[in-house]
Amino acid sequence: MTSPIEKFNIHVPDDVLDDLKTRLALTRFPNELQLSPGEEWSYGTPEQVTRNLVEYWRTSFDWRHIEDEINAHLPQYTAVVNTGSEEHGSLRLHFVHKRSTRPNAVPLIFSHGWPGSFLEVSKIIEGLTEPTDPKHPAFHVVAPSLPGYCFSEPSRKPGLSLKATAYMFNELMKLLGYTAYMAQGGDWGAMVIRALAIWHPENCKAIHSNMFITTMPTPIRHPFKLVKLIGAVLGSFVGLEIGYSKDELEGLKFSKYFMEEESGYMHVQSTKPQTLAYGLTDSPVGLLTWLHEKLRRWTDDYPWTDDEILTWVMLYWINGPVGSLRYYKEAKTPYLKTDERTYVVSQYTNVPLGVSVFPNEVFRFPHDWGHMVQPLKFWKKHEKGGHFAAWERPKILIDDIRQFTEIVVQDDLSLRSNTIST
Amino acid sequence: MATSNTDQAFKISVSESQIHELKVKLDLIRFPDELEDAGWAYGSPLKDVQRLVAYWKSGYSWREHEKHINDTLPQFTKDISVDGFGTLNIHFVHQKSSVQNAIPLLFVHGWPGSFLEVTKILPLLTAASKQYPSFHVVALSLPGYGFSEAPKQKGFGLFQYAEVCNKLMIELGYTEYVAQGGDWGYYITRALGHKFSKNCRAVHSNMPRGSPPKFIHNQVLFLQHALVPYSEAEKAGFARSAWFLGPGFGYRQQQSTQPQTLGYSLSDSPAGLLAWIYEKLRNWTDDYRWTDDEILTWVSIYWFSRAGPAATTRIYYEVETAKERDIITKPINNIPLGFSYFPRELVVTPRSWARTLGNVVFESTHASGGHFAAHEKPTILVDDIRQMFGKGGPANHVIPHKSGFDHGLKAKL
Repeated sequence: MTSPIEKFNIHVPDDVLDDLKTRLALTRFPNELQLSPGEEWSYGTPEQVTRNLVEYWRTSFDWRHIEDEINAHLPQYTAVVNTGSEEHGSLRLHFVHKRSTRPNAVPLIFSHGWPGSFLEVSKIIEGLTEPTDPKHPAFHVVAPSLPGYCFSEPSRKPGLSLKATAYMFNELMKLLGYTAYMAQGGDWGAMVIRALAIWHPENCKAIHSNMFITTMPTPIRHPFKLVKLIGAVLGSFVGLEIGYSKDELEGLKFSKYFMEEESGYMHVQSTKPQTLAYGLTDSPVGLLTWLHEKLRRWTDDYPWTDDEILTWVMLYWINGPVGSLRYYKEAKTPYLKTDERTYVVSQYTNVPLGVSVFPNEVFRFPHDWGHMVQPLKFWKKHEKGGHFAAWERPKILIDDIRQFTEIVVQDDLSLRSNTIST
Repeated sequence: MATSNTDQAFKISVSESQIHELKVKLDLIRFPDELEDAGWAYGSPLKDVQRLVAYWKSGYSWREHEKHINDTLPQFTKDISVDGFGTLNIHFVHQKSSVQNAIPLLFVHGWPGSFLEVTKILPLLTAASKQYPSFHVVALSLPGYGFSEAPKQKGFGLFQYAEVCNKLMIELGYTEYVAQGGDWGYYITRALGHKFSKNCRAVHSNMPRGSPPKFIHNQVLFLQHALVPYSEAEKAGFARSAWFLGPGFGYRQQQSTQPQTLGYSLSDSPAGLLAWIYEKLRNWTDDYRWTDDEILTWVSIYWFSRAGPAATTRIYYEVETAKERDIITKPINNIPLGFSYFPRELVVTPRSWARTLGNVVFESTHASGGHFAAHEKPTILVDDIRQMFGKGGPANHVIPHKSGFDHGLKAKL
């Protein structure tokens, strides 16, 4: 019987790397306004930083070495997995899979987002699979690439969104023998794990998010929270902290600011991803700057090295970014009376939720909103860190995942059972 | 005409190395894939972009179009100083009418348009006739667009663009003139009307905006708006506006907040620039049958522009940051305003909304046409302008001694 799971190693063909170098040498840079120190990023990714990166990328960046490292550190596979829809059929998913040597390890699926990748699991995989302290829980870790991202096959048809992604990820976990598992994610990963909790609660038993996202309280479902919010806003006008703290109100203001001032990429990708894709597929500097801006803006003073930035960008460059851009529009696929994205954010599910809150995250909601769409079992706020928690604060995230897991496995012993299929 | 600052005659002459660089890049284009039956739902379709790239690479001749533009449009450059921004070298088209008392008219383009948008209306506006007025026409490349220099500092907003326009006209000897514009041309001519109405004596726009009348400011309009039901055309207008402000708005959101980030792919990838602009040429017009040559010429102006394509997006950021759209909404009451309504404009509002913009003396509604009126509906647009300023028109003789006719002289045909 042919195994549906195939071993995978990243090996970018030579001609792709040569072509990339040719393009980099031909880069035509835009000019730039003269900005004061401190303002360099205010119109977008600045020129000097970009020129330096392009030069390094062209002359010294050693992709083969990085490729070898990733292959050595992250055991990767592909498997053809059903999407749950006739239209999309079955697609080949790329994923990392590392089993713990510990018995009773908990299966955990880690879902990345944009502009991240499976690579984000790198710094947490060791701590999760082989904790040095025997009292800490251990995990079998699965980290897929979202469909259409990186080395996962895209669909040829419109509409492959969160529901299909969740179906595929659930199928993947079952294929690997994990009928009861936990899920962890941020960015789109935070949405995918919500989709798992909503549509596959029989297998996905608990989810942990580092990007808690939800809708505004509504008068019918959350009247007290709405009143509390109104009170807080009114109170703030007269300098009083009513209902929500100043901190929490600031967080809401920031979320609003983010949607108004920093969501251009989201608007374009949600409506005209194809139009955007031409430039980002054809121009390495175009792709670099589009992603680099987020790597910088969304993190909390994280000291990105040139190698890190370019590695993240390469993972989008190799097969082109269009699948990842279209993912935003696909999330608007109509579902019931709304669209998938809105449904996933607002639908109630009984699957327990754990949240890690990092200060530089782009959406910042009050603590008690955590209860609105799931039973909240863990909520921890941190002093430092941003959107890419697994990359910026891996130890902290591992700690939080462990703590959350200890809480949920007390309630759900099925998480501790594991079966291995051949 | 004696001027204080000499105009330099200008001919577009893109260097061989730039043309070569473009061809090398076109040869290397790496295309994304596309979903089956995507049509226009996700943006510019792959087969269109591939076809245009192939033609741009071999077939389309920039030199031919460059020559044609130079032969058809008399162009010049002039240094214009702008308070706080030094001197900018400004590229413009200038065509005088044979009619001595022709009305000086400034045509202001927008994005992703250019000075080229004046091409079809130029011969019509400058034509001499006994029936309709004639105009001396000036059509500049806005700073940062076409062959005009771009400002180097931040904060170059609507009133700076207006200052350039006003100074240019004055230095050309037109101390009083009228202005016409759409897209950014609408906003800039509003700024002209607000700040430089001593010189800019009337404004016509094909992109009327405005907000719903408020009782406190316009009681009559408010009541009109409240009591009179929307017509079919107005309802269709709301649907069109909703499209623009929703699915059609991404580009503006990006250009208003992080224009530089977008600018790299627009500058480095001809396919990227082409797809970004082509989508607007198609979605913003009313079934206009763009030829591949037209599309590529419009895009080439951006590709070969003096300041590069990234510079053209900064106006969105500056205007958004300074909230200038709100500022110029305040009514202009001391000069006549005119509006032409085209059904496929981006935001199509009821007449009562634009009347809040001030002294609206001319309105005209059309059954077809979109955002690029001067390019899609040149004769209709010129008809409207002629009606507004001509004999018996509501802005007739807005500039003394510049009626658009030579009195007592036979019109030269």
